[in-house]
Amino acid sequence: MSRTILLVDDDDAIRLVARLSLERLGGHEVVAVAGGQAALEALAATAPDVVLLDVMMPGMDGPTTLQRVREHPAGASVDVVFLTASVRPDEVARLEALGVVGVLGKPFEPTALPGQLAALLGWDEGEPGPTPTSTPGPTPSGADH
Amino acid sequence: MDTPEPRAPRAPAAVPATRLDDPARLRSLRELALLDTDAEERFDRITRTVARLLEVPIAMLNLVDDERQWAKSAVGRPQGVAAERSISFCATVVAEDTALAVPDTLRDPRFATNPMVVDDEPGLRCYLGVPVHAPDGQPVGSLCVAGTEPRQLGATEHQILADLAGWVEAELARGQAAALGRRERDTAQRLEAVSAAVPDGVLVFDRGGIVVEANRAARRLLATQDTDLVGVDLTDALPFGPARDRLLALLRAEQLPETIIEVVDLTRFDGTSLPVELTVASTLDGGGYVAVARDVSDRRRQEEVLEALRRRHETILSVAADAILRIDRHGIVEFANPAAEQLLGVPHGTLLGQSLHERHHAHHADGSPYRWEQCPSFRTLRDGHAIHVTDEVYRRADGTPVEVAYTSTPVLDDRDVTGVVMIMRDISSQREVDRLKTAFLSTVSHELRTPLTAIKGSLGLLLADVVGPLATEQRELITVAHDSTDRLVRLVNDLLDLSRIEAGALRLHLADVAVEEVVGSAVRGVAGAADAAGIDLVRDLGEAGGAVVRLDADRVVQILTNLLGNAIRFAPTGSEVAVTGHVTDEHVVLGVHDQGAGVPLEARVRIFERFGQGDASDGRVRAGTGLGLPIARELAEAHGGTLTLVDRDATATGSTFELRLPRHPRAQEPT
Repeated sequence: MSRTILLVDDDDAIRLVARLSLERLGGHEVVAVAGGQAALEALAATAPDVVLLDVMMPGMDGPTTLQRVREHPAGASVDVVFLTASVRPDEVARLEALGVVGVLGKPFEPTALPGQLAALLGWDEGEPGPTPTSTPGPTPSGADH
Repeated sequence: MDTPEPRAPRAPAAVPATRLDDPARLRSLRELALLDTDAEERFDRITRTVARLLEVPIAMLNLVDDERQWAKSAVGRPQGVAAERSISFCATVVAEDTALAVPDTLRDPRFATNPMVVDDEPGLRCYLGVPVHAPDGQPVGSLCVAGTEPRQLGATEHQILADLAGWVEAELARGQAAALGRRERDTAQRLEAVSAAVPDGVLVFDRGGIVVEANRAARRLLATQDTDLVGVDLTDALPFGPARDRLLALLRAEQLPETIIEVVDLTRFDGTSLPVELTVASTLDGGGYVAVARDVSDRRRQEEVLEALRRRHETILSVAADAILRIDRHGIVEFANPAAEQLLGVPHGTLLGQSLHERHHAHHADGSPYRWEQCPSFRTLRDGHAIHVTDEVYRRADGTPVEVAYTSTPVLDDRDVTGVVMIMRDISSQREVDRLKTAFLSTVSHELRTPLTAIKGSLGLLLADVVGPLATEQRELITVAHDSTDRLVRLVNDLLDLSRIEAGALRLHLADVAVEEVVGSAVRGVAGAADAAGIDLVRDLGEAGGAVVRLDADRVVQILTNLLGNAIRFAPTGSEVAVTGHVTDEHVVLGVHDQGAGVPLEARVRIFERFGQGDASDGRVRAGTGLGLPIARELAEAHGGTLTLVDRDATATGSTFELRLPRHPRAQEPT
């Protein structure tokens, strides 16, 4: 079953790569926006299953956007996953504590991204990508919630 | 006149005792120093003359003290013979201080029963005695004659005896004068010896300023050996200078209020000068002054040395960049250098006498109260141990916090802790630099990762045929680009790790973890790569597997992943890579073995250096960054452990890397 994903990232290239990965390989519907403000505006109309949220963004950063999403009538209970280049363990722990489903690191393997997201959110219909062992970089981790 | 044996019953006392026992008389007698002494010719010639002139068998010079008569000189009797005073004829002469004549003793009721009369020996029947006086006029004895037949000794005999008693008295006076002179001479000599021996210069001068006495030390102090100072006016006896001025001023003041003691410079005749402690007092008779000068140049030199030492220490303390404080056992500041005053933002001198903790340390960084009993300085006072603190906040006088690192060291006085010295440094700017470094690294990390994410993502999507199937050569080229991107990502990760370590920004997140767990995690991580390379991964941890060690799991997994990754890359296909373990008293030791070609001798040291990885001799793509082992070693050392390449013996194949981690003392406790 196709899901709707609201992708928030200030970098055009990453928006393109992540959108193609999630649409073509994951089979989801992706609404990609370039910042926190645009995300808030798109929230009600999109009604996403998950918000995939960059952390370091000019203007409104990821954690602030998260806070504003939670204050938004349409965002109070929506699932949020951070997608971040900050991979220090203490930084990851700090993000997880903000009340998100999980944190995924950059760079990500585009073929693995839909599977990692599905695993975090408990989607059993998602197409699993190639094994994560071939993915260098930070180990994705789930969060208690 | 002598009674060798006391007899009983004793004859009744014939002598009045009043004058005899007069202390003044007895003292005069003692001062003659004649009692119980040997015969002397000067007295013997008198008694001999008496006996010859008066034609008597017995002539004596008897001294009478508080209990007896004693013969200083005697003719017809032994010299030194004594008789009890109660039966002494001479005692009567002394008691009445007048001549006594007894022509017939048996007919005189005072002596008729006297043992010296009635006994055969000496059997005295007549007696004539005249008093002998000491130079001060006290009657001290008698010059007497006696016979064994009654005899009338008349005025002529009486006169002769009295004249010769005068001779005796003249001898007594001469002797006493000689004794006195001797005593005076002795006293004077003793005084001179003392005066010469004392190291202090002594100058006695009269009210007119004329020196009447000067000892050897005075001449030495003044550097004048030859000049006799006595009889010289003070103005000439002393060279111009402060000491002379002082003495002359005292003289002019006429009246010396009391003893004066002061340190003053004494100018000497050789032109040099000495600091002296000058004591001036009036002489006992008030006719002059005694000035005593003590050379205090040694003391002055010691004081100057101490002062120089004090200034040197003060200079060191005042130029020290670190704050240095000393507090007493109650936490009161006894010393604070300028850097301490600056660090705490207080005006100069105002820290002294204040409680350091109450004024500047009463709250933690978060504002909660900080009790004195928990302050490191208190604990140092209590336990006598030095304490080093790196993460506390002191407050300046205006209330602003200052991040400090300090050491609190006990001041020991014979094992008692009498205070604490605190050496403190403002680390606010250092902390700020650390924060900036960490922030910079985060930014760099983000800025590098973002384009890499895009490149890697694009290539990955192409390879996944998202935009259509690729021709064979296209796929090959894009695969190369994709793999190189992976390598670049690893290099960026390693560089950032290394930068964090160097920036001091590496923070270990320690927890008690089972060794089994971290090894398992690392092995799972490389399982895919081992599979792909056809390598068999073997695990034999033994008792090390169950050991629980306090470590940062992510970082230890990173170390093991690096070692295993290297082993897999360098081992021949079909061979075995093994992880082994054992436990020593202090360490858990993990080994990673491969059956590859081993590390060439010349590379054994270099491989732990950055970009010093071994060459890929068989041409396989190694895909290492050259930073893995240096980072792994840094991480091992950050844990207090080591990472080494084990020396291999000639028969062994491959390489063994050994990771040693210290066993935490609380490793057995549940976490």
